[in-house]
Amino acid sequence: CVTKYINRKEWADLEPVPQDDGPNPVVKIAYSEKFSDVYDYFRALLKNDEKTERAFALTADAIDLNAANYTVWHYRRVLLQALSKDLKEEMKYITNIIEEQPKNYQVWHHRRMVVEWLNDPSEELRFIADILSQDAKNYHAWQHRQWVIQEYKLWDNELEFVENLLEEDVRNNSAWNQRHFVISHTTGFSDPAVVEREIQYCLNQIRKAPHNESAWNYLKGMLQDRGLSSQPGLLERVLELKETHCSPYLLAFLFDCYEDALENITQKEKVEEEEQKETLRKALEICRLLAQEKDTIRKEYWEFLGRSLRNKYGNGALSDEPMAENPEPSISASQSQEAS
Amino acid sequence: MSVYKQIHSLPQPTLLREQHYQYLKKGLRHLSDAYECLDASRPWLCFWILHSLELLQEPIPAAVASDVCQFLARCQSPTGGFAGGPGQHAHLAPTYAAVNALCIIGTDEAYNVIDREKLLDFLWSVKQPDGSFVMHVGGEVDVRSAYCAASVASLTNILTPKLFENTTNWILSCQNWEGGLSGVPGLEAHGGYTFCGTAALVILGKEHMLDLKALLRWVVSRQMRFEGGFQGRCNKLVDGCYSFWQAGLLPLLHRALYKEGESELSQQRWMFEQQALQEYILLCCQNPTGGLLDKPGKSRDFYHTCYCLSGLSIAQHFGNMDNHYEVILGKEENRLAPTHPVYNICPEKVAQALQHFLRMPVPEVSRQPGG
Repeated sequence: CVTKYINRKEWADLEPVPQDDGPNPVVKIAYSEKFSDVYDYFRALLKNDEKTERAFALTADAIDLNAANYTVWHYRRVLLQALSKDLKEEMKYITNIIEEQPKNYQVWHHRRMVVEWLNDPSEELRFIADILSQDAKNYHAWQHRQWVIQEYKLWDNELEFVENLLEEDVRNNSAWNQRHFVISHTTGFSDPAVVEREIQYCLNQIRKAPHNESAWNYLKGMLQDRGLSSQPGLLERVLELKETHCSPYLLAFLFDCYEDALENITQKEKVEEEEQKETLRKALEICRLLAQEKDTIRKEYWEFLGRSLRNKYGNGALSDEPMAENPEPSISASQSQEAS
Repeated sequence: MSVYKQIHSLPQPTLLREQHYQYLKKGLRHLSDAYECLDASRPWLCFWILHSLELLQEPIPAAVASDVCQFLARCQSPTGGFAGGPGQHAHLAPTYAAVNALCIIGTDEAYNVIDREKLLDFLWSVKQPDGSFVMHVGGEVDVRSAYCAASVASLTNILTPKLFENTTNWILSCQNWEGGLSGVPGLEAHGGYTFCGTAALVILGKEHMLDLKALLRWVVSRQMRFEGGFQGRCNKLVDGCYSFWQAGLLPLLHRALYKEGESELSQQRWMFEQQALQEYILLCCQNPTGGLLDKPGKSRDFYHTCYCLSGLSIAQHFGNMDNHYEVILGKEENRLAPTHPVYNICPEKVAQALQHFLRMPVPEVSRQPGG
């Protein structure tokens, strides 16, 4: 057990400052004696704006007791500069703290500051990879990784890193996001060869794990700006998969293809009215299938999409005929109903 | 023992009002040393507890309310904004929480705690040239900060277009290929950050600039078909707190789409399965001795208590300009007060605060933006 600050001779000159919660405190925390001791002295240091080695040492104790105290972290950074501390040593320190508490905002921000001051990202990718090996979806870790890669232009091996992660867990949505990040900042998604390669990659992953929403979202997300129907042969490939690898995500993708086709037909090409009606029919059938059977948790949503599509492209929308009635029953104001 | 049986054998799920009330009442005064990790978030504790009590429609005794005001006054920084505790530096998150807590109390004493001029100075001090805000001086940037800033600025009537110059575009750059929003541009779409970005844009009147259809698809896809609750990100686990962060987006999107001329919106229901979410919260997220939680097996805490209850309220109450429609799973006693989907305090408290502060002039800026 370590001696309290109040009992340390080297600190006798400093008067500890108790916390001022007022006469009738609320949300009053029953701090341990150790906690109160350290923070009473931290408040004293802050009050005197003391910039000494002992102050620096105390910040480590304060952080150990509450690593989320951003005021302490800020003070530590002021001291790092005022005392010209060895930043390489600080890197070791922050490495250990993050390993212990990887889901804390302050520790990652502190590491970023030290890396910036040192202008040395050489340990970062390996360190972050280690944190990700313990939690492959740690949001702070990915944020730090993207910052390092962008700031120091460390793109070269990242696609390979992503592919390895996806090998380990094809459902890791963070890895799929990183894939999108790397490609959009390097080759981009305009190159048809890249797009074809990515489509191939997605479809392969879907064959291995059909109910993986990430792969389907990536496929759509990559193509949506250009329009899903802009990719020749894709619809056919997905329809093939429907027989053996069906999922609510596949069906939703088909719906999106049909909707995109309708969007573009009316704007550009001259298409048979029959063909358009058929596309609409297929789209509405998928909405019904999803709402009533395959994705019932999203019934309200799929029914809305169906109504929207019918409203936009249905009978009445294309000619001067009056529109079909909204099939929803009308209700009076302030109704109340108990669910079963 | 009897409460366990009650939850799992009665035909109707029951909100354990009395147990939650005792848990909250105690926490508002005293917290164990397990809460040392939240020593830099004490205004949050005030907000989480006060908002939970207002949802449960439990009155706050005047003496307690006054004590909260005085405590939050001690959390206010001399240079503006609120800190995580007395003597700490100002930070946008406890600032958001403190202003919300004071608006829930809603007395003149509460409103008078806020130094509006200094608050504006603080917001300027954390504003970045690219439109984003750091969470505190020398701190990190992410989309939470824009929401915290927009929330407090709009409620206290210190909002100017200049303060949020470029902020809209910065938030929009957080919408990604998935349709949701990330914490900073480039990252994975995430429920908490998506709520913050969207609600901030609603406050700024710019929500129509999002790809609303893509956002809608992303958020409805976050409801878990088996559990009924929401996940925070694609392919991750359900968590009770997303009952608010995710489900709370649907009222925002409903209104946004309505304003964009969408004619096919339901007039009775949000576009998520309201009953299933209520089932998840009531059957899986309640601690029998009071408080709510992430998922079975996890410990209760005031954050999850606040956001599970907030989500339950969203799932119970549908409302637009013209009508209010309720879906209450279980007994009528399970009914909570409605909550405002932008600020997450009761709508009456929002209206009352706006009315109070709109009578005051917008303060002049006395400091330059931070770097």
